[in-house]
Amino acid sequence: MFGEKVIELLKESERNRETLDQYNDEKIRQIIEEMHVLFKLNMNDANATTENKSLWTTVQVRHSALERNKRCLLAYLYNRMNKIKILRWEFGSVLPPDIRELLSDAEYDWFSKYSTNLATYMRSLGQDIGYNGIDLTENLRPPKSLNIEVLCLVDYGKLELEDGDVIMLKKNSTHFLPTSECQTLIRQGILKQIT
Amino acid sequence: MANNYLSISDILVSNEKVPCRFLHDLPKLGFLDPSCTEEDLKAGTSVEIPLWLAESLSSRRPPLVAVDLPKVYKETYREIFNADACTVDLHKLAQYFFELGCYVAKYDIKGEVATTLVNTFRQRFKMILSASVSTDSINALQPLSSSERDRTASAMASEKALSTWLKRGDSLLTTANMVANHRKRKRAEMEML
Amino acid sequence: MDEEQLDLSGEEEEITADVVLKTIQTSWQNERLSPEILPHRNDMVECMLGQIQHMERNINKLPKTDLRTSIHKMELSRIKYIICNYLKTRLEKIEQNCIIIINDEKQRIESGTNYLTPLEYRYAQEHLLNIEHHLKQTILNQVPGNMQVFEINKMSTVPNLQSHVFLKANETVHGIVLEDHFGDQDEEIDLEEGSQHILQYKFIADLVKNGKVQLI
Repeated sequence: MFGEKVIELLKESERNRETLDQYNDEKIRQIIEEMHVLFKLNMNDANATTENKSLWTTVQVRHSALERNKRCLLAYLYNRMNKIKILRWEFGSVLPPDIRELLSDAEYDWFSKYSTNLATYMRSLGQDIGYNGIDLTENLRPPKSLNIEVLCLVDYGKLELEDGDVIMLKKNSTHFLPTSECQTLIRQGILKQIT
Repeated sequence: MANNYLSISDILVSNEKVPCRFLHDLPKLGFLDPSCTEEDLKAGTSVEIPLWLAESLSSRRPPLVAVDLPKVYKETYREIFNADACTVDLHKLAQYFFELGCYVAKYDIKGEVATTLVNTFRQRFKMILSASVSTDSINALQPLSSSERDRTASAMASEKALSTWLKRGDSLLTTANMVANHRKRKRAEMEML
Repeated sequence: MDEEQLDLSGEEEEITADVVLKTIQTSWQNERLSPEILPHRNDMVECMLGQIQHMERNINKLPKTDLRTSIHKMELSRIKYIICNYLKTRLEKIEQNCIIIINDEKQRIESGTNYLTPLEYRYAQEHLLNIEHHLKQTILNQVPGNMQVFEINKMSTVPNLQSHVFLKANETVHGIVLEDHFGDQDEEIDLEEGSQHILQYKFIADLVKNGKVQLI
């Protein structure tokens, strides 16, 4: 009750700093229940302090524990929010199902809102001079050459290029393509740059 | 430290235990002291409690506990650190040596903990810096504290990136970090099944 | 008279595009290297976007296999990268420090010295709202009564203005005060034009914003 459970939660997430874990709904529920228990104990003892003055210090100790639990829960969620943000920039606005599973419904809701906020901002860039917006999730690396050679890692299917050509991305096929059109697919792990 | 509220690393640091003496009776909180058999905690008991609780209780007016220095920051160890900090296994001894030390230093009226912290940091930083040029020397180092390990990892990553860039003249576009790591994890989990 | 005007206008266009690009590069560098968000350069960004449109139209007029096409396309792609990265860096700072930035910006808007574009400001507010809503829904509304407050002061992340930065002086600056936190030994230094230094950001923040120094 004095923060042990919530620390387990945080240690879990620190162990895997680079990836997102499954949302631990069960533990969070338990921690919130513990907080309610602490609160009730405090309510009872606060009423009894008129008879027993030293109970007041006990109430203060429990209060510190409540604050501690609150802080840790918020940190857990906030830390996950930061990782979920990165998901939008790396996977795009549609998450693969195995990633989607890792988020709670509320978190997916947040992801959608973040995505929408970002899209609204990007769409209105350059509006005054007739632009249709700029996709900031492209152009993430400084360009070194106009075309690059890539190896296709999975059976992706048809890809339509800007100039109208359609190419078939089959697993293990290689292609020589304009950098700008492969960037997203490379980031998503579908293509791999060779040479 | 207004900035640290949401920092998981700070939360873990403040979870470390520090020795304290309770200045008042604490009814119903006997469980804080694992060796206590009663329901109540008596004034004068010495218990090791997490830093967050110690700070909270010692900052009340009147203070409910008196905080003592953990043994790593006491005189005997201070002499070891001041003599040769580089031979100490910080991983085993004190994972969060520097961060916890910053918090604990204010309970040391003589200010010697602060001096030892700076001194130790300097010595070990030099050691880590000169070792980070090659992976062999890194592995030969005495085990490091948590924050030292992070710094070392990022130093090595920078070295690697720099030498790759110098050799190639540019860098390949790569799969995004999180995407790659998720795939790795998935593969590892599937192999376990 | 007319001929001169024609010549001048031809030169002017070149200088303008070049100057804009240089300014954007400088702003981009400063924005990437400074711990806090800097005043926006939206005028420059829009100007550059206009230039890009212009260049794209010209490129499309050339035959596909013309050598100049590749060169221009590379140039365009570089410029696009810089602009995107500049805007993205600003978004990152807004997301990380949104509470502080919104507070500061409220005051700055009143005096007309805003750092954020209206679009960025709306983004920041929406972002904060989303975070608050999520935390309230998931945690704060479920915990005991007196714990339900969204304590905005504790939740703010403040940029570390004391971090050290590399800088170059674009002109000579006198009398920069380096405060000494731990003692009374404040130092006062001068920066010669063209000299390079490492200093704590907070001492030269204003100089970055008014262009007297450049972060490198």
